[in-house]
Amino acid sequence: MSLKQTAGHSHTPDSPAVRLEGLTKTFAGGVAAVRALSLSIERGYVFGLLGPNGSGKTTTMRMMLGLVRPTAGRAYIFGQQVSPGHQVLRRVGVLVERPGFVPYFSGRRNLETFWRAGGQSLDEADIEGALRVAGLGDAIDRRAGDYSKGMQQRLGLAQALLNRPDLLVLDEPTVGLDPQEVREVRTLIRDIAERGSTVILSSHVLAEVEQLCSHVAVLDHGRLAASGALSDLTQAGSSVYIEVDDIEQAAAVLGRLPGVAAVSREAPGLSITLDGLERAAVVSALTQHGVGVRTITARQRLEDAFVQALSDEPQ
Amino acid sequence: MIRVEFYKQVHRVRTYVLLFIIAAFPALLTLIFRVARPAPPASAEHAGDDLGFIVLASSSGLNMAIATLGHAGDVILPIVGVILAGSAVAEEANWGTLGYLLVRPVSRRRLVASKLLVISALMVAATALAVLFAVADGVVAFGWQAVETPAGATIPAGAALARIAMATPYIAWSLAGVISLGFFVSSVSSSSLNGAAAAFGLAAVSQILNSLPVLGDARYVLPTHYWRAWESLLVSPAKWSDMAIGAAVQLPYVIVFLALTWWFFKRRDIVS
Repeated sequence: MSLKQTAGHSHTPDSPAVRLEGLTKTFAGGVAAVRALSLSIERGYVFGLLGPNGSGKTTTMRMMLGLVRPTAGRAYIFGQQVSPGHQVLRRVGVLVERPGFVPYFSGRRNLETFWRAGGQSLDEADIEGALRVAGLGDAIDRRAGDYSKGMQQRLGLAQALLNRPDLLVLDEPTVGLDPQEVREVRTLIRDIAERGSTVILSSHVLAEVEQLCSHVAVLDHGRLAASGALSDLTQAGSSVYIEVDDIEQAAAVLGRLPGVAAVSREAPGLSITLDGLERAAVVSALTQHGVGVRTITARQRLEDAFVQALSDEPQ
Repeated sequence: MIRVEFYKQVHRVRTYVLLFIIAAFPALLTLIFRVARPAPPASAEHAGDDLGFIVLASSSGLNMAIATLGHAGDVILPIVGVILAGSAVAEEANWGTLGYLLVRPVSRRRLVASKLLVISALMVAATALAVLFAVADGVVAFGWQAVETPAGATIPAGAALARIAMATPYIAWSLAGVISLGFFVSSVSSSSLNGAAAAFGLAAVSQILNSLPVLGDARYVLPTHYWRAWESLLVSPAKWSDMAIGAAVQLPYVIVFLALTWWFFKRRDIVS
């Protein structure tokens, strides 16, 4: 696990998409939501922000966008220090926590008035692209206040894409969507990333983060517990995945083997958590009992890395 | 942003409900006087009467208009004002649109200024409409004649209409202190009710205190004390001093509440 530290800042075109320097937020009443968070998110990353409820993810995003005043520290977007209403935000698309609309306007009118509020003409907005993303059909001309949660979420995503953002900040973007819509949103995020935009994604669905993100940071009690490339985090643990010719026999053997903490089915093989045992000893034990080993790979799922990061973090 | 704010107001049902109330109130009051047809007392009998223009309402169309405007300025227009001001910023927070507007980005200063300007414009328009409806209804019901004043004087209809027109901006401005409080509370809240309740509470308490002679001169600094000062234009000769003081009394309220609005809103954490 690598902790990416930041130092200094520049305003060159090569600046990271986002850099946080000692970002801290203590709310009234002394509640410390974010503590001295330093983080650098390079351009083109699809960056997952993980953490249990109350870990400071949303507050971090809000400070990044100038919505919440940091108690200490600074946030930079594309090398420019963010302050409320800073013009660099024109390059950012946002869907944080919940979408927000004027309830008595239609979906289309909401998109148009939201855009016009920024002082730009509709010609400069990607209205057609946003409507395609929203995928609301005729409902786009109905009152937004009557939309289902899923429809509101899709309209919120569409709104975030109106400015063809270089940086997209999404907080739980698939909440409230049905499985088909979830798949569409994930495909959309991949497409946006492939176009070269940076995406920051907060999600409770670790499988979603695993599928989409190139890099992740784990927050716990407002602190950075871990950060790095997803591949580094998921390869570094003590889990192995094994495929054998007799899965029942293998499970029985491994279940009795000292140094194996847990065995679970993960079709078509088994996922094994080792407790001090070498992989070679696993293969040896299985072959001694007549079980043929087809493949064995060291592996740690994001969930394991996530739990590990939280357990490593001093409270 | 200003155009968008106007657009939001013009395309919502609430605006038309308020407009209906502004139009219906003078019509209702005029209808009651028209049907009941109370005999106008001799003016001399009512010199210095506390009831003022209301007892002379059926004397002429413009008398009716003046009586209607008195009540509209005391109740109807303040209600319109506190609803508009109380919801201005808070409803954006409630809808979840406030954060998105600020990230669009619309600067906090521009957002506050735009909303304030639109509310002000709507209040001026609401007051002008209240005057227009009051005059139209009064003249239709009781004809175009000279105005009789409670002191027994008579003002030609044309001159009286000109004075009513001059009173219109004062009526709108006299609500500024109460509306500013509503706007301030709205800017630090996520519920439209909070701002409206605070502003309405201030107006109600101020009216009650104003009715207590025991408070003496202290009543002169209440935000509602000079709400009816415009009626002093409709005596002969017209007096401007009360209106000038009334206009000045609003200033400290407006300055303090708007300064508080800016100070708190600039520092507000947008978490909804």
